[in-house]
Amino acid sequence: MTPDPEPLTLCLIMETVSPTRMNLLIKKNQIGVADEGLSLLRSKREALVKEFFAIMDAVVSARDKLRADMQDAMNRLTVAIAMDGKEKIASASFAAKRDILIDIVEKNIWGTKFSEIEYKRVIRSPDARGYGLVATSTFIEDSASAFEKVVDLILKMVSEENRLKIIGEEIKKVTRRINALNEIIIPKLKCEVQYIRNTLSEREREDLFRLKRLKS
Amino acid sequence: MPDYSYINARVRGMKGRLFKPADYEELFLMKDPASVIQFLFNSVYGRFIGSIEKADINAGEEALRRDLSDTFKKIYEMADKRIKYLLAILLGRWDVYNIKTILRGKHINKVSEDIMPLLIPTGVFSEPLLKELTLREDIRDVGVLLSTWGSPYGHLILEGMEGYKKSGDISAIELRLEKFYFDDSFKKLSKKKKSGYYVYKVLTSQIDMLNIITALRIVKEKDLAIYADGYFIDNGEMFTKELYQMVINEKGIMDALSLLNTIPLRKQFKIKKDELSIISDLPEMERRLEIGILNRAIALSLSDPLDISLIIGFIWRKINEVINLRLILRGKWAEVPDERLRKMVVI
Repeated sequence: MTPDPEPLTLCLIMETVSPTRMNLLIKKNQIGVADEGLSLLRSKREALVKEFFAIMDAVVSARDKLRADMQDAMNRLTVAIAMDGKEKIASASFAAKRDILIDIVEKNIWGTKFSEIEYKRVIRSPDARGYGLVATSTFIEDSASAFEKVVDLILKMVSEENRLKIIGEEIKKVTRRINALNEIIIPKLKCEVQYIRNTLSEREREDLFRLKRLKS
Repeated sequence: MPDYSYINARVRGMKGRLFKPADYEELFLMKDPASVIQFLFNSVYGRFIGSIEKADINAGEEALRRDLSDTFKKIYEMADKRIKYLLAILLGRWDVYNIKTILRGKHINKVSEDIMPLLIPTGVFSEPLLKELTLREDIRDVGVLLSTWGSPYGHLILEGMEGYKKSGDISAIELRLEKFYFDDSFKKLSKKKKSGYYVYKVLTSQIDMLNIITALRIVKEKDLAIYADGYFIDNGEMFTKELYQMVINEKGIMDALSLLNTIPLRKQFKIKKDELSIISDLPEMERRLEIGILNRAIALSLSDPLDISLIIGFIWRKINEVINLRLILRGKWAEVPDERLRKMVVI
């Protein structure tokens, strides 16, 4: 529902519109289109908000998990450093070094474009870490595995958080558009229609008066 | 028969400088890593901590590494030829570690300055020799240089080059080096001689420990089972290949641990009857087995204090001390509760 065309003050500044029947039809049509757009934007915003809250829950719980996993990985690393020494950990890290390849894919949801990261699972099995399995301590392995989990979660979260950010911005944009339609464009159009109607009916009355006067 | 009187007297002197329970008590009561570093600065480790004002936790750990390396070097240098022969076997695992680290460094094109701080020279491969290896261009060059020096490790590396080029990882070469070290050590050892027997006892315990941990890893990660035969190291004492196969066929760690709860294995690692039932993960088990080897080495040194067993006992005590001090340093840094720290440290 659009609010009633209001303020006379707003209507007073409508004198630039030429009060013709043609313009009246155009403006009425424009109101129809604006109403339709408004309802579409409202549906879009509703869907985006729904999506936003769904992702937000996931992101918040993923952040908590990341914090806990990071703490766990740090604890394991501290124990590994204490048990094996930094030198052995650095040595194993030489063998385990690798590039993590990621693909950035563009996706489209509700007309909103955002980038998502696609990657292969970061967590490796112990024999795929590059170092000889037999003589590498389980403390090092434990810590490597914990940090791989953290990296995996970070990569997963990057996409989610990016999506959340873009959806948030899109909601703001849609809300601005709704507000513009609702509070400026539609009331202005309604005022213009009102102005044209008033002017046309006044003209009709003047014509009638003129005709009566001529007749008499 | 080698004369142990001189070296054993020196080692007894070094043993006297190991930290006593009272020192640990003092360390436990310290509030922060800075106090621990100050304590280390005033001990034998102090010579490797340049200036106490600038010393941080890294400087403390670096001093521990350098002192460990220096201690082994000293023992190796003071030994006569026949004792050196046995020490080369005992300390050979550090050589394997050093060579592996150099290969790992070369695998990702690290320069000598990056690799050298990670090495623990023990005397067999001295620091200048290791430095020379780190200056090589690539893994193949390291293998060529080792071969030129007559080291069998060089030949092993060159043999593994084809596989390395295909797979791009050095784990297969590392496995060859580890296996060769144990095989070669057993070929060199004479069990009939008392000294050889003591070294044999320690090596077999190490092999059993590695095989047990590998078996438990396979239980945890079933995908590793296809390589199970390749990972097994021969010449263990109590943990036979049959037992290894039985363990890897178990479904869970707890079932696997119950298979290990045999009298000979418990005796070998000095594990009490119910101790295995409270172990829940692999690192905990590994630590428990390491403590078992430490206790075995100490028991050997007490049973015959006039042979290489005394040196064996000292080496493991020293390794344990370094681990304890690293635990205390890191523990104070990470604010680990005192009670937990006391449980982790083995005095």
